[in-house]
Amino acid sequence: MKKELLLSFLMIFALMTSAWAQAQTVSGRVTAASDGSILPGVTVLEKGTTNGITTDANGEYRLNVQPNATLVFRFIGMTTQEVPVNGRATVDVQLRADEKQLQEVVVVGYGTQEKRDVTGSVASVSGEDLENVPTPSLESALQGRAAGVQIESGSGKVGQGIKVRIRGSASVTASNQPLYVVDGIPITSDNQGIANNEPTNPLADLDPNDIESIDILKDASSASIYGSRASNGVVIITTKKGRAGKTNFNVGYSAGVSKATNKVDFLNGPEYSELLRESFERSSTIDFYINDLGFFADVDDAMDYFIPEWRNPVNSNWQDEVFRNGSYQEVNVSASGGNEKTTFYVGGSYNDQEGILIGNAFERISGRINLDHKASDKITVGANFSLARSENNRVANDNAFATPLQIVALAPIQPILDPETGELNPNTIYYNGLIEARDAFDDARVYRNISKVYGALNITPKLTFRSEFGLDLLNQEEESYQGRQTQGGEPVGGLGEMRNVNVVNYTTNNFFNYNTEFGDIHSLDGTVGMSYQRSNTNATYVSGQGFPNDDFKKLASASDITSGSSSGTANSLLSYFARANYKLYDRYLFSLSARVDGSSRFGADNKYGVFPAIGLGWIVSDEAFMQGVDFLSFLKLKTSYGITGNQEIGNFDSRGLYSGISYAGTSGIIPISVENPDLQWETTKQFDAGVSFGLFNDRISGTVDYYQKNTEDLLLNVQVPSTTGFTSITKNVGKLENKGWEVSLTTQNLTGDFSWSTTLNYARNRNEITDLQGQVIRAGAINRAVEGQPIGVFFTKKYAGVDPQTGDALYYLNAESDETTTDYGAAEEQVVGDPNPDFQGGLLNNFSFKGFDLSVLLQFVSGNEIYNNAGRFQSANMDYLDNQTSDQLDRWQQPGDITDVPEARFLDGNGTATSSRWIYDGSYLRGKNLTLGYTLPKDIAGKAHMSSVRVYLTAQNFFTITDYPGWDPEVNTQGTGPNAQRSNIGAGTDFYTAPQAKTLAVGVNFGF
Amino acid sequence: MKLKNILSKGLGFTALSVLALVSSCDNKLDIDPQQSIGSDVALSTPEGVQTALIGAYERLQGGQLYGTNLNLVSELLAASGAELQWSGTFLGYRQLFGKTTVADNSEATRTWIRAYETINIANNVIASVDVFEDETTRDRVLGEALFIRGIVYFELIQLYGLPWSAGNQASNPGVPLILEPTQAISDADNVSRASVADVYAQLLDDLTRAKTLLPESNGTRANTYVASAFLARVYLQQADASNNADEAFDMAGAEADRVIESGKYSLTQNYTEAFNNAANISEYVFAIQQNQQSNAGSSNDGLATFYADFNGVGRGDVDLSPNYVDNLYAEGDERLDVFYVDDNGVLRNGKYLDPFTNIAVIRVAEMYLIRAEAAFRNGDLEQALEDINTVRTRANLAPLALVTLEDILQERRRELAFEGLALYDVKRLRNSVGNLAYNAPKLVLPIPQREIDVNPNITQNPSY
Repeated sequence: MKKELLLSFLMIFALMTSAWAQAQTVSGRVTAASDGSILPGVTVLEKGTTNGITTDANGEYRLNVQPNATLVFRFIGMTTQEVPVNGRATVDVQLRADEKQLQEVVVVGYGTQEKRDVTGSVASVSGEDLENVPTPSLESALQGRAAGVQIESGSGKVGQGIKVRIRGSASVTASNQPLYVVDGIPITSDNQGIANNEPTNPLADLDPNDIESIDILKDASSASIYGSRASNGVVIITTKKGRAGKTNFNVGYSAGVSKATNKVDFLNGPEYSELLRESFERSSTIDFYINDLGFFADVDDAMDYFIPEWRNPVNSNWQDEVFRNGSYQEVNVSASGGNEKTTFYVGGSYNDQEGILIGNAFERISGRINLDHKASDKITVGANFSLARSENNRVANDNAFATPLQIVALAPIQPILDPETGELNPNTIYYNGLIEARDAFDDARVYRNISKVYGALNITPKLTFRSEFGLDLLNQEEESYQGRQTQGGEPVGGLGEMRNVNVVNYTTNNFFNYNTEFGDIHSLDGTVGMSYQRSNTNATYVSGQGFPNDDFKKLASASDITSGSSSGTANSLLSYFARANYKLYDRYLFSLSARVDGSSRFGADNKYGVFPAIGLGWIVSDEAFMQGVDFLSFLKLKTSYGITGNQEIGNFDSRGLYSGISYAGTSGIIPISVENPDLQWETTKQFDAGVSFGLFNDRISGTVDYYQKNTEDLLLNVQVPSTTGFTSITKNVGKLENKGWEVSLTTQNLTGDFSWSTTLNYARNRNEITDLQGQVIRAGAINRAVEGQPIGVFFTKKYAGVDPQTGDALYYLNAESDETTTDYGAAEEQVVGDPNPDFQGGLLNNFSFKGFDLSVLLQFVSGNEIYNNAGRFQSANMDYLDNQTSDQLDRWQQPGDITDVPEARFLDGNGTATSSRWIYDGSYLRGKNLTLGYTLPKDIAGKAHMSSVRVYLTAQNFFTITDYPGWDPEVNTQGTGPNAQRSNIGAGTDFYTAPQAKTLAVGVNFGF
Repeated sequence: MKLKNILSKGLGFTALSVLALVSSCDNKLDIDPQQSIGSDVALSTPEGVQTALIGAYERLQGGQLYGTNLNLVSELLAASGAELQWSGTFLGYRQLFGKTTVADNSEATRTWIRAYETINIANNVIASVDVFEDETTRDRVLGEALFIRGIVYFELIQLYGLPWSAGNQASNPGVPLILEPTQAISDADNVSRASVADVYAQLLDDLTRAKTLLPESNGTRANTYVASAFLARVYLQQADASNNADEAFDMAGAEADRVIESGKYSLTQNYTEAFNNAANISEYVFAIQQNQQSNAGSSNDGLATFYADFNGVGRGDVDLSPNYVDNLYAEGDERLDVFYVDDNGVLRNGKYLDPFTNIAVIRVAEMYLIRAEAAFRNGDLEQALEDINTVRTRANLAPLALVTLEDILQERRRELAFEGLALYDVKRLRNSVGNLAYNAPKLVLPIPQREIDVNPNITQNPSY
């Protein structure tokens, strides 16, 4: 920004002064150092004069200068070079890309800022880091790359919504997902799927290859410009732009295979038979049926009743039936370039990922055009246009018999194929999910258009006005069909559903920017403007049943349309914002910002909220007294404080409303909610203090931040006397806090031909709910939100192992004593675990040598616990017919056995009730990404008329080290009804949740 | 273009666009929901108020009120185990049957909540009737809303307060009296309980006003005679069973007489025809209308669900005692036909076999029985005998030549068995349930625990 301004100054200056006397002519050609391409439009200036010219289409110039002149070559995005003429007639110049200038700008709300001057806390990830990562969604590629940004997939199902937490959970019932802003336009990022399934991921419609950079605004002073939506942080995504010069083409192709990170050992047929018989023989329930009721003659007879296959057992490995080798394929093509007036970026890509679970896949085809045009010195216009179509083949939610991984519950002694028919066995102990995979589908097809047009006007060199209009159009049709032999379709002769949802989300931003310097002392960068955003959602839903046969899947063939409805909702936000960044002596930094947000969601008496923030910074290393300290190349102290909000609740929670009902064939209305005119946003007051430093000429650089986020006025459903006719209202009560440390450290270990750099990011967050007005909010399997504890603690009875004498399961009586009991009912519930990690982060190592590059990203999460809610069934000492994990073979068998697995007693419920028995350490260290690339030498590439050729091999999730005995420690089953409260509180729970994919891909990129 | 031109044009454009955007934004935040309407507009038109009234009837229908609990809670609380057994898994009902009810009993909670929801709708309608310009319509709508509020308070006071027969009506706590619609929630909503006497006074006032306001006919909804029928029940509940001279008997008899003499209602030919009807029949004074789209539930709620185990309908949770039924009815009593033995050999009540048929709340047979009892106590034995024989004849029993009070009360038990009146007869007649006296604390429902938790001014009933 500063550079451009300087440039325009000079140009104006040049126009206003008269010509100079000349003595000689110098000419030459300007090319790019990186690939030798010619550079038209480079400003060539005789130093200290206004005498200058720009290079022509061939990158050539010719200029009359003084013989002792020095030429200055300037070009946007390149390092300015000064070359003394020394009497030469020809001066050819190669310009290098200005890495420093490119990297050191961060995109903040409604503008950019030099990284050096930022007083807030912003994590930046370059688009290059996201390219070629074999995952369809950008959040997965971000994992482990930004300090304080926790990214957690719900499961390994592709296309599923991903949980992102920036500096912890700031809310209990409202969404904790950050705000996503693409090129200045906040986009739709919440779930749009059919109810009863896991959330969909609207961010998967963005092609990571189109992304130039991602800047994550974490603290209040950087985020509060987004006001009532900033408490969860803001993720600013900037897409690629063209640069003046030669048109660069880039073609990439990659393909790979994937498989599950892990499989769990279950009993095989013989082991199952052995444990099953033992369980029957030791069961008091079976004994009661035999000896007291005479219902069964003996154990054999009882086993015949439950699972007659025990007489002719087979050895089926059900788990292997639902996992498959997934595949990954991506093609992307882009072209970018332009001239001084017009630049463009055009990109297109196709991405096809077959999941590791049968029936699960994601496919995206997308295109983008970004155009910028300088109509004159004063006016710039431009447009970003993107279009994507994605198709997600979804599978049932984790808590459904039809979900692929619940197949592990099936008995290994039952055959996969029915021996009589040769078809899939329909007579398994639970529903055979393979039938679902064969006869059912659930496809979500999305058409997505995220576009923007803008115009910018330089009213004066210091004052610009920018107006943007953005549109995010999301059209999704989700169609599902369950065939006549599936669990859902069988009773009704086939079951079809169709849901269409249309989300039109438009935004306009209009703002002035004023940028000035007074001498060398003061510098001011001010922004003031307004924004209006509205999002309309319309949905239709139809379901039908009774199909002639499974060849008919459209609802037109349903004999009975069982449900049909349409619905619509909307919300809007009207905002005014201002920011001033003032810099004194280029080292004292002051930043003030504020946003006023008016939201349609809030109560009549609290329509508008004000969100101010202040940031202070001191670049200590620029002080005179620091000049002798040579090892310290950069030192900045910074602090910020500000207020942000969260308004992610229902669109009409503040209203008193009536809904329609019917009685005796007549329509009526009933009140469903009572007005709360005081309802407003949740308020988060965040303090941040940090230091940024560079040592030994920036060989070591880093940032350390401490923050404290106090959220108050939590949006909670509060119980009220039901004599009012209502049982609860949404009110602003309650408080919670998050505080923690973030460290990011980069070292240039080796420079030169063999270079090696290391980047570590580390974050530690402590969450505590400080006030819920005494309420205890349960969600998930055993999670709670309760005062004095972190959000989502596990709260249940504490398992105390097995009595070595009897084989009975034991529980702790209460939290205060070590006393145990066999009486489950007598044991008190207590806090038994915490799904929130103690710390997490990533470690990135980059190596390069000649044409080779190697990057290794490790990601770690530590101190969190996982509750395996399926343990009650699959690790339950053969209490029922469910196949058991192999560790259940360690069951207690005779007095004196020391084990954690109680005696197997069929249906006796020995230790099988919900308890801490299935809570495990969820810490893990993961090889997130490894990429080894080789770039062909220029001359070889050149022979093929290429400017660059790179081949690479990339491995995602290439190893995982964990003590978690389940499939994968990155689990977060959403269960049914994915609402914010459930995902906020119900964290860290596994329920037949699919593991992540381990992907190995090879690829090639051509540039020309 | 000259610089100046660009500048002025640019500035003009800037100023214009900012103006346009800012000025048109004033009302940009007013977004109304599309599946519901604001309470401010909902009741601002005659149509709105009429539909809200339908909403109040719909609330009566749910399992929380007449759909299940106003029958089942009464029958289970009145059961000592000799009449019936609760064999179902629903914990709330099991507690009621076992007299082990706790303060957060699910049934006591949901009935209380729904009753006050219904009262709030009635209060909204009552407060909005001025939108009607047509006096006839206004009177009808006001009458229906008062009627609904009156009967709901009557059901509440019978379940959550000590009975009138326990005396001390002016000091025994009843239920909170809410007579204004809720517009917002404040500390003023932490109401305390009104006395039994005050609640009765209020509901009598509501029903009496309803009786004068309501028309002679009103489809399946309340008319003036429905109000009278409920008044007859209320007076009967207030009458002192040990004092035949109690005026309340006369008042109950007069209201019952008004219903019968209206000529609008008559007994069906056969007793079984009086049940499981998809449309109202002449015997129904007031019935809850159920159909496929709107009903109390067909799998986890609704009277058919709990009582029936018949043709795939119902959970069969209420097992009748064959001894009790055999002893209650004489041989040849056609009312026995309504009972049946299910596939597992269990005797069941067949009055509710289909979740999509109407639930009779008051049948005209009850009016004959009330008039008979009132006449008897007043010494009009002729009238009493006539009314009892009307009921007996329909059941294909020989008419009596002489009638005693016990005959009349026994006839009530036979005629109205398992229709939800058992508890109220126990209480007004000061009978007992097993070893629990008519005024035992466990025969009164708890004020829901959630209510105690959020309202510091409400007191709990003894034993909870």
